[in-house]
Amino acid sequence: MPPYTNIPLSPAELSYLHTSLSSTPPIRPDGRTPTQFRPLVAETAILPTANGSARVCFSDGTEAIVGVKAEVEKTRGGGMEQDVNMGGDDGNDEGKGEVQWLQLGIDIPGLRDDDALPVFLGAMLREALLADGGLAARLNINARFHWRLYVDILLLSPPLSYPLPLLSLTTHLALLSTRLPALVSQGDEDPLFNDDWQASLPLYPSKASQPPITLLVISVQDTILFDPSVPELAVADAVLAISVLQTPGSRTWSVVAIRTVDPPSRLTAAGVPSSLGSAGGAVATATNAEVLLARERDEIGSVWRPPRGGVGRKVIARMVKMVVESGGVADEVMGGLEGVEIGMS
Amino acid sequence: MAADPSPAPTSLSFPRSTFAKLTPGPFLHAHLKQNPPIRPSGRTLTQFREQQITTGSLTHSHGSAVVRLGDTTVVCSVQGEILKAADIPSPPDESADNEDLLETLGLLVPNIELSTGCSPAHLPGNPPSTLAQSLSWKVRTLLYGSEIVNPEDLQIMFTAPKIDEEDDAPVPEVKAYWTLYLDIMFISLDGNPFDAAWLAVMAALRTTRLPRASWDADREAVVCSPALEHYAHLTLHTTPVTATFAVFSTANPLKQRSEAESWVLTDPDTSEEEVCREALTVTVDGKRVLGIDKAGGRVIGMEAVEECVKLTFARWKEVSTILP
Amino acid sequence: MQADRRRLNAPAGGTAPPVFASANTSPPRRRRKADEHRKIFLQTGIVPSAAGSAYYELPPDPATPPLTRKSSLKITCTVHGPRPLPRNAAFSPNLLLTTHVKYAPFATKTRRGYVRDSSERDLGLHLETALRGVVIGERWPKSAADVVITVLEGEDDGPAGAHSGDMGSGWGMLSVLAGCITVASAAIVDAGIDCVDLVSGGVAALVHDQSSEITTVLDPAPAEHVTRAACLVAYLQSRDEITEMWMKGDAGGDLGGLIESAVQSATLARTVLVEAVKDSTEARVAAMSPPELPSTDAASKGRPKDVVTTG
Repeated sequence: MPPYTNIPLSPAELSYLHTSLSSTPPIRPDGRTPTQFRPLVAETAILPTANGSARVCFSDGTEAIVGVKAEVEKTRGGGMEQDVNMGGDDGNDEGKGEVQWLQLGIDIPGLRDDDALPVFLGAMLREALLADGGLAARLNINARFHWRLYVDILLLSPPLSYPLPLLSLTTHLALLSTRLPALVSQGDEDPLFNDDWQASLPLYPSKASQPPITLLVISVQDTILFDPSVPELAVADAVLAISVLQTPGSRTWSVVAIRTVDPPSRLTAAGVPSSLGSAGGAVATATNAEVLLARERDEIGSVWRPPRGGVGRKVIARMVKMVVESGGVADEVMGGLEGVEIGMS
Repeated sequence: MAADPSPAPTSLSFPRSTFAKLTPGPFLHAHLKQNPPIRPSGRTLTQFREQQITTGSLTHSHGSAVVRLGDTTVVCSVQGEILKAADIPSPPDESADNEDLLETLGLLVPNIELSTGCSPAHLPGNPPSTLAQSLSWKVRTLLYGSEIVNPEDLQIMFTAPKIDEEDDAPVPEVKAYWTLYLDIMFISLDGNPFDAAWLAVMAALRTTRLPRASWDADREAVVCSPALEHYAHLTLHTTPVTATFAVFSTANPLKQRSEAESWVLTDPDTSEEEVCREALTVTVDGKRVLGIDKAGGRVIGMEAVEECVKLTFARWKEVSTILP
Repeated sequence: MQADRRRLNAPAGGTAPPVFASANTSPPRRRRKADEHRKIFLQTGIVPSAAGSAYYELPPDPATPPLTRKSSLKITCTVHGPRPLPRNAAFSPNLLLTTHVKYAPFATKTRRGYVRDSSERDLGLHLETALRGVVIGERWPKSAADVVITVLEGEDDGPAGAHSGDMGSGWGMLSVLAGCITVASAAIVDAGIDCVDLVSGGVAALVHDQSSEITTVLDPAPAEHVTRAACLVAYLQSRDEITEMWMKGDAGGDLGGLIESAVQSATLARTVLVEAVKDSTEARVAAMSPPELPSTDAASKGRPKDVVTTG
């Protein structure tokens, strides 16, 4: 069970939130517009011993730190795990890295490594990072050695809301600030590096190539909202996590991963319609079948009911469009992140 | 309850399934009391369940078998992996007997997995229960004890080429071993897991085909030939067949022992296993008895055991013709 | 790796899978049309002691000889429940659905262990998301249902011989998940748990074909081509809704088209699902009909007879 299903909201409160969020224009509890993000504090290069690091605090008190470290590892090429070609040479693919070279670890206080939330978040972030294949190629040193990148994500506050956008932003900034020492040796010999840190090269060298960012989008009936807070998540009909990557060289965005997240609203209790509640004068001797029929027939809007079914295709299309269109949400987030100074630890 | 002098109390008649769930013991007893005794599933006392064996359905295994024994379904897969002789921490003596080689090195690794949701009592997420562990161990003991697998089948030899004409002929040495992992997963469990598991192991071993492996001196590694013609079956020396019997007894500490009745049920299913406190497993091969394993109770004596052994020999004749 | 003390372990020294000298066989090519789904075999009621169960298989191509065949998906699913929660469990107004997905050790090219790793837990979470939208949980308060999936044979992650990435993070997982969703749906209906609709899983992928153009294919077998992006949906046809979507890779500008193709693939899988559910319901109705009166002829000798007891 997800940890955030300890939703301390009654069916009446849930119904109120749902109605206000699905009205036109939508009324969010804190008065934001649908695409407005809450202010956050971000700083990079805070850990002097890590190759790259970042810390982001959201305004609801959640805080995360990401540290990136790199180690040199011998490439297991031509070893036991590979098919041996008995004659001639392979069609060698130069520069293509293995996906094992990135190791992601998520630490959320109060949860074990194999609980649902860390596993899901870890898989999603990993997929997004490896999506374009460019990262794996950048970790290659020479034919015999490569960098192994360890990304350790620590959520410093208890997981009140779904921490995915926080962790993704922090990882993005940490990777942007990651620097790898400059290579001094030549060719395929054992790698030797320049110990002058000022000469180190960033992992993501130019503004053109950036790591992806993951956004959390919810839909409440026909309304689409970004950066949902805890009560907004509790009444969401559908929750989607979309990872986008800026195409190198242009300012267009492409989607690299999408996952649906189970909305916590499905685990809430339904309200009792007034026709069935004793306060409304209902008869206590109604059979189970009658009660069921009455609840099913209850029109939407009378009381809160956990959502059934899934998300419509048009809604998904609208969500994706809102993220990737030029001037859309991804551009806004990018603009905000550009203000963060990428320091050198 | 007041004693009523009027006619005998009316008899209660339940549908079968309700009676079976409420009081499984008396339900079974009522069936066995009939003349001739019959079991709730309609089988006679000495009748085995219908078995179906399908082999070779798994792509990634060197040998596989799916066995259905009534409602018990089990999948066994044999996968071979290479163990380099140089990696063995304490290698066996050169002069050591070949017979114990398999067991010393642990080259046959059976594992029975019951926590697959095969029955409501075996839900996943738990480490192997006592039953699963003891079944795995029984299969292992029978594999090594009956010496089915020929140790030479699992050895990968290498003969260094002669360098000088005057040198003696080079001695072939063992550079690596095949290790066979036998993974036995239960899809559905309706009693008598050991018989089903062993039948699957036998069927899988008999259809296992290992690729031809040779030692490459330059790479210091074992390389296998992918050609289909070079795959070879294992040579199996024996064909052990097992049969399990459960004993249902009405013995009760409050009653006289002489009043108790007991029946020996062949190939019990779950409902019968639950009410029987005594079980017997006999393993035979051809005309030899390889093992008799009895657990619990003190009802059956030597005559009953002899009967069971006879039944197992008959079963052996039947099964050894069916096995692929 | 620590030795598992409750299982029989590998010999001391560790083993490695056999390495083959490369054969000059060409990799398998997709022979179906781009919008053709592989034939699905789906049967329910394979585990009589469970509340509901189903078996899903993509039968292998009979034309290829054994030992060189590529993976053909085989999945079993058992549903236990709904059963009451233990006394000390907290009150839950909805059905507590737990999913458990496990690959058998012999399911993939490299042997897996017996303990669940993170990719299997991830699959379980995806499946739970897909099923939660379909099950009407509010009709089963204070109850729990377990959906247990065993993957007897999984999909390859990529064309044979290529670096296929680490175990389970490749494209094969999407096809396996689509199969899991379909088989879990059949098993849940077999168990009699209330559902909104039948949910079926479908996968579509953008692949590089021989001329290195990018085409969309339905129901990709990752061993047959180089995949660029893939999308899985769990689709409810009667409501035209998607309960679960998982998309990986760079779809370029055609994301909408990819999702449409995945929905189409799910619709194709649904036809098989409907057939299987119909058969299962007919079998159950037939089993519930009253038994015939006991007769004394020889034909009924082996059949179980009703037994009368005195109370």
